[in-house]
Amino acid sequence: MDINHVKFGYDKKNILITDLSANIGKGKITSIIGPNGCGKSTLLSLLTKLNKPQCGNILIDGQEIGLLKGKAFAKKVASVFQINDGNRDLSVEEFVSYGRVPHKSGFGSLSSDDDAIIAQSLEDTGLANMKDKRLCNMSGGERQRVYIAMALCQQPEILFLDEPTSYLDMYYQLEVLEIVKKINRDKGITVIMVLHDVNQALSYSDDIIVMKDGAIVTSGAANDIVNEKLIADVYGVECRRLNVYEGLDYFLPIKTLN
Amino acid sequence: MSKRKAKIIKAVAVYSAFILATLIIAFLSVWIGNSSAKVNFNQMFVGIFDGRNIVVNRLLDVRAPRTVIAMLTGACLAVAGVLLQSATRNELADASIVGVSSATYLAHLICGMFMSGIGLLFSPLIAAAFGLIVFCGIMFIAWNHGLKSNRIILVGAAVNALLMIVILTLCLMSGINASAKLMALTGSLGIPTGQEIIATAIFTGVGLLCSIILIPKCNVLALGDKIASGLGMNVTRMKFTLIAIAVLLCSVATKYLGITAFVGLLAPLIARKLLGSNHKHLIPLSAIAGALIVLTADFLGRCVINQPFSMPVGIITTIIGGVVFLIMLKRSFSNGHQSR
Repeated sequence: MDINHVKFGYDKKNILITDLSANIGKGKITSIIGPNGCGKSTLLSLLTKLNKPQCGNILIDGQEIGLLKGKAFAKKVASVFQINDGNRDLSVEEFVSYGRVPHKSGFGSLSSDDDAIIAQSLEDTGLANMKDKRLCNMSGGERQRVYIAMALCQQPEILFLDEPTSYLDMYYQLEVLEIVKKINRDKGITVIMVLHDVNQALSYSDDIIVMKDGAIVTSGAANDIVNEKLIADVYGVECRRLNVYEGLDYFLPIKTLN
Repeated sequence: MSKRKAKIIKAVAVYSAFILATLIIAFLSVWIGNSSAKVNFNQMFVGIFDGRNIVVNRLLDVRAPRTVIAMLTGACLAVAGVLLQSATRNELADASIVGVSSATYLAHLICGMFMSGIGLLFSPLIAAAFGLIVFCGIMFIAWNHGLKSNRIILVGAAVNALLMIVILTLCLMSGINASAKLMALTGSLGIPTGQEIIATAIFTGVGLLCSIILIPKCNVLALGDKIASGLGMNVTRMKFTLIAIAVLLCSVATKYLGITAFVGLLAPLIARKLLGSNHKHLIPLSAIAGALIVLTADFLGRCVINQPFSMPVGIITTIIGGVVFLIMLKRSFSNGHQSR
C-alpha cells in the first residue's frame, strides 16, 4: 500500500494531515502510533475510504482506492473500528455472516462455500463455541473478536484495526493481538493498526509508523526506530528502555517532560 | 434445524393473525356505520361475494373505498416509519415527528387551495418533492461530517413545529372552510373516488416494492454506519434513498390522513416485538400492522366513539401512540442508550 502526498482536513482551515507519504509492506503487521490528536485515526479513515483526501492519492497494488467501487474495495480491505453503534440484537453467527455481503449481490443467499468461510472465521477467532450467543450479551473483548471474525469473512488482503485493544482488560488485549498475529502469519493478510500502547506496538508489529501533528515523524522496522529520545520528542514522556529478554525491549514510562 | 422450523411457524402464525384481524375489521367497517341502510351478518357476508344484494352493494359503494384507502395509507405510514428509523437508526423516528408529514401535508394543502386542477397522479409527486426539499433542508442543518441520527430528529422536530404553524394559519385563513380543513388535518378519510384509490394504490405499490427491494441494504445499514461502509455500502447515499422513499410513502398517506401521528412508530414497534428487527419481517409485518391500526382507528372513530359524529383517525392514533412514545422515551433514557 502506497500513500502519496496525502493532505486532509474536514474544512480548509483545520488541516489534520499535511503532505503525508508512506509505504506499507505487504504481508506485514504495521502499527501507527503517536500521541492523542496526532492524526493517526484520521489517517486510518483515509486508508479505509471513510474520508477522502483533499490532495494526493492512496494506492493498493498500484490501484488508486478512490477508483475502487464500494464492494470491490470491501473485498480487498476490511476494517475493525473502535466504536460500533449498530444492531446488537443478532447472534454471533448472523452478525459475522454479513461479512460475506461484499461477495454477494442484492438478495443473494449464502452458499455452502460461504458457510464454510463463516465457520472458519469463527474458528480462527475462537468463537465457534458461542456462535448462537447474542452480541448484546457479550463482553467488550468477545465483541471485538466478533468484529474481527466478520472482517475475516470478507477475505480481505488488508485488515485495518483502529485501537483494537482500547477499553479491554489485559487478558483480552493480548488475546486480540495474538489473534491478529495469527491471522497475519497463517493467512498472509497485511495488518495495519492504530495502537495507543508503544510496547504492544513493538512486540506485535514488524513495522511502525510514528506520527505527530498530522505528519510522519519516522517509520521503519519496529526495533530499529523506537528509542528513548523518540518517545521523549513525540509523547513528551521520559522513559527507560529495559531489555526484558533477548529481542524484546520494554519502554518503562518515568515522568512527563515539559 | 427445529429452531428454524419454530421460527417459521411463529412467523406464519403472526402474519396470518394480522391478515385475519385486518380482514375482520375491514368487513366490520363496511358492515357497520351511521346509515339507514342496515343488513344482517348473513346478508352482508353472502352479499359481498355474490354481489346480488342491492343494499350490500350500496354499502360497498359508500364504505369500501374508505376502507381500502385506510389500509393503503396505513401501510404507507408504517413502512415510511420503518425506513426513517432505519435511516436515522432511531426507533423513535416517525414521519409526524421529523417534519415529513407536515411538509407533505402543507404541499397537499397548497395544491388543494391554489392548484386544484392538477391531476391525482401529480399531487403526491408534488407533495413528495416538497417533502424531500424540506427534508434536505433538515439534513443540511443536521449535517456535520455525515448524518447523525439524533440531530436529524431534533432539527426535524423544530422544522415540524414551524410547518404546523403555517398549516394552521392556512387552515384558519380559509374562512368558512376552516373547520373542515382542521378536521382533515387530523385525518378524516372522506369518501375517495375510484380514481383516487387507483392512484393511491399505484404509489403505495411502488413505494412498498422499493422498500422490499432494499430489505438486505436496511439490514446491513443496521449494523452501524462504519461497519456498513466497511462492507462496501455508500452509507450517506443509502440513507438518502431510504428517506426519499419514506417521504414518497408519507406524501401518499398525508393526502387522506392529514398529520396522523405515530402510526409509523406503533406498527414497527409491534412488528419488532413479535418477529424481531430483521427487515425481512419488519417491513412486511409493519405494513400489515399499519393497515390494521389505521383501519381500526377509523372504524372506532366512525362507529364506536362519539356517535353520530365521527372522530378523526389522527386523534385516536395520537392518543395511543403518544402514550406509547412517552413510555419508549422513558425506557430509552433508563437504558442509557437507544436500544430495544
